[in-house]
Amino acid sequence: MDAGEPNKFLFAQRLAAALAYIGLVNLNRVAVSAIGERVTSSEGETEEVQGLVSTLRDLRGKRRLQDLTGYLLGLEPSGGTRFTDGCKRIALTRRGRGVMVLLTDFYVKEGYEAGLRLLKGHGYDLFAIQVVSPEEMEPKIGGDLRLKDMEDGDVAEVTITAPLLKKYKQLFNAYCNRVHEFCSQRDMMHAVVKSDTPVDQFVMDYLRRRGLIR
Amino acid sequence: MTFATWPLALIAAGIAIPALIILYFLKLRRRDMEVSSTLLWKKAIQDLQANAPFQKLRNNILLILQLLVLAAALFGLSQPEFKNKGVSGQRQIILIDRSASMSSLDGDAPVEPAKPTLAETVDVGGAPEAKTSQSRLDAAKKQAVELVNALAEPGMFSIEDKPEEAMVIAFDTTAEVVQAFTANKAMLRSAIESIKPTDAPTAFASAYNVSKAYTGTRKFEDQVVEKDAATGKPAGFIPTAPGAVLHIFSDGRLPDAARVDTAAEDQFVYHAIGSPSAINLGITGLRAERSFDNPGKVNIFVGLQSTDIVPRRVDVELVIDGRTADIKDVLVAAAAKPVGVDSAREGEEEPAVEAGVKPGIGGFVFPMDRPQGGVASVRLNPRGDDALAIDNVANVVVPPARRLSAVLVTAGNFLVQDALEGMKMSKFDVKSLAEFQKLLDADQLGDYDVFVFDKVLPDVKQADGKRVPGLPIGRSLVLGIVPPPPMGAVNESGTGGGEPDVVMDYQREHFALQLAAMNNLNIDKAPAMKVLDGTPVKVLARGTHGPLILEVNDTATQAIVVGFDPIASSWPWDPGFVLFLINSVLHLSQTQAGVLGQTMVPGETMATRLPRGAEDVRLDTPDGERIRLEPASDGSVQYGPIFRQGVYSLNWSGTAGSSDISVDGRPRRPLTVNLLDPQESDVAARPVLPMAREEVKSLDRKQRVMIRRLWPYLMMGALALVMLEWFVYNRKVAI
Repeated sequence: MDAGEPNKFLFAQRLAAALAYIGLVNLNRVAVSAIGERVTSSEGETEEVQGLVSTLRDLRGKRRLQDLTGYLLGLEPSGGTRFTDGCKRIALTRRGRGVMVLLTDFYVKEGYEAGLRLLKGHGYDLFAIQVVSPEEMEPKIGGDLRLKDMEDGDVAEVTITAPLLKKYKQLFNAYCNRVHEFCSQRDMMHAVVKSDTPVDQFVMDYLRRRGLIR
Repeated sequence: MTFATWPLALIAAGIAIPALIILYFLKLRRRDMEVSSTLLWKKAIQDLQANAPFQKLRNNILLILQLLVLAAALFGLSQPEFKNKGVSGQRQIILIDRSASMSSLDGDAPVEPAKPTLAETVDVGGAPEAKTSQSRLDAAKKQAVELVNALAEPGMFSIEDKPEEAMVIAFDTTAEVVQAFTANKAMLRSAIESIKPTDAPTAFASAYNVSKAYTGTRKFEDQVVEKDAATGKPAGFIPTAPGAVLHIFSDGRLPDAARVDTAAEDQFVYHAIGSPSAINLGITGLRAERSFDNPGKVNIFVGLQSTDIVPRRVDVELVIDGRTADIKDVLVAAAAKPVGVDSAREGEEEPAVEAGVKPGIGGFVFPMDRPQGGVASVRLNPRGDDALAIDNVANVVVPPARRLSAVLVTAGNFLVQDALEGMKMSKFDVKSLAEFQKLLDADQLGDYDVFVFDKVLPDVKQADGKRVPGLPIGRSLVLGIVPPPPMGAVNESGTGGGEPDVVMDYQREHFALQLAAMNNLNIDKAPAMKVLDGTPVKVLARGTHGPLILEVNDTATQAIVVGFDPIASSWPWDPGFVLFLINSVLHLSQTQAGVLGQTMVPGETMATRLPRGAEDVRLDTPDGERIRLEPASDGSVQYGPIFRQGVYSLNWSGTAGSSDISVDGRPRRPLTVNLLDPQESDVAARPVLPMAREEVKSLDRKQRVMIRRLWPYLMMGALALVMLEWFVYNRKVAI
């Protein structure tokens, strides 16, 4: 998620803060979890985790806003996702009913399906918001490149040509459509948002229309 | 098609083609870039590319283009060339005919004769002629340049593939080496382009001899033949010159080609230029004469020639000193048809003019009264087809009318004195030897055209400074005494000696002897004369014991020498003796160093003698050029060879000769140079060149380009493919 211009992770932080603030203001119980592969301590040491990096739970009321923002600002993007493990840990640790908002780019090489099924299976109203950068939708690169995956370090050697770009865009759209279809079939709401979209506009217009907030 | 350096190309192909394909398997140096995920990129690549290595090359247009570029370059490296019957490996000698007939304007005409119908030829007043604006010499130069371009070049990387060398010789009556043997094509081309036409006739012998002088000699061991091929016996040392390929670019009008002794090793390639049906009318004879009895009357004899098969009417204009004096309408006879052609069968095809047919000739006289001298120009207007313009103009110097002056040097000879007094010369003196010697020593003999020596000779200074009896500079008739060599002969009988003799043979066609009636001449005492080799002396009459009458013809000295005393023979009792004396004096006076209407042929060297003391001598050419000449001590000047016809004018500071004219205070002597050659005016090109050993057929024009190299085209193709590959690559990577 630490990619794109504007940065996708920063966008996700802002959006999470906005949604959490709305929940706190309305005296809803708010919890925030970070999914990842490893966690970095305050001393700078990294530690492998089983999908769930950290969780901030049971926040209620406007007074907890500082805790919320402190937590969000303290998150550092690093390593891979381990999406299924993270979703499983969240599903197991959460009880009761409610609204769950998932902020991710869905670039999960192991597959996002199992994770989503686990989250949905525990009775939450799941909102999956797929954050993408403008460069991912319309790549503006060229030449002979060695593309390095910033999460797992995987390398893809490509010569950027017009047919390749066309193929990439086709795959990107198909991938988003497949996520959307998967979510729709399981009564989950799915939305693709570009990281250059103003957060307030997205929250106040789009999410309100979709019924996430009133 | 052959390949000059195919092994080299094969080796290069063995290295370059696998290298190119291997390069396609090697990974490129790529730029690193971090992305959110390679998930979609990898899928996109997988969809577009196959994993197997050789499938990677499938449908790769760039690789195909690069392979084509490489193939073109390798093909070019092998130096492919189209080669036909040309002979390579030998030295090539390019002989270009630059004679007068090569100025004919039918350079682009086909070599094979055109075959018009008789009706067509009658309608147009002559056989149609392939007349173009290109002269034969220009066409010859163009074809010679093509030959040079086709010469084999050395291999690009091999020192064993030697280039073909060639030399260029331009010839007419003389031969000039324009470029010695070289493999430098630029120099050869430049030399060929520098050849200029001349108005001279043609002689092949000089060109061949010059070419052989440059081909060098074989190595000694190459000239030793162990066994004769025919007899099988030891042959030994046989001197032979190395063979060469002689390319003759000519119209085939080489009258002496069949007489030139060519070497068996030489190969002749005849590049025929011009049309065999070329029609030409020209002036082939011109002479001006004054009547002996009435010197004020001039007759200008004009000879014409036509190679047209129908009679032609032409205008002939006589211009004297720039003013038209007369115009005549003359009918020139048709050229004689070849044997076997029936001209009566109208409508049937027949050759217009074939090589070897006898040209039609015509002649007439311009008679006029003109005591004064001048330069007469005869101009021919052919009124129709005419290939060669050079022979349409001829010039002759008409000397001013004057009577002769002569001196008889004798101790007393009534018969001779009486005969010469009967000529009514303007001045005739009889002097003793002492009186003549005094005038000679004082250089006061300029008033006399001819000296007649009767049994005496003055003392003249030899080269070693000694004074011995001999011929003085000038024109002399010598009777009864033999001048010593080199301007005479050795008198083996001694002075006054000799034996009785009769005339065995004499030159009846010689002007001096044509009326001499020497058939029944009995001589009491004829000295035994011996003519030495290398002296300017020829025998006019011969007796049983040797020469009787000689002619000396040197630049400064002309003489007719009667070795025996005519008085001591039966000759004085025959009218022929008087006619001999008169004709000899007239002949000698006419041959005075080129001032009496003599004309030179282009290619000759101009030589004349000016009055003593002539300075600042200049020769004005017809082209307007002015050349300074330095006269010798005896006043003789030489210049040449002269290649262009026309009127040349010698002028100097000093005294004028008896027949010279003065313009602006400077004596002036016009000299004319005319082609006047029936062989050159018969311009029909010959498809076959008769040589001494073989008849050389004209090379077909299609065969003339011997070697056509393809590598420049292949390299251009490779370059075009590289540009196409770059375009395709940019199209592919464009986003």
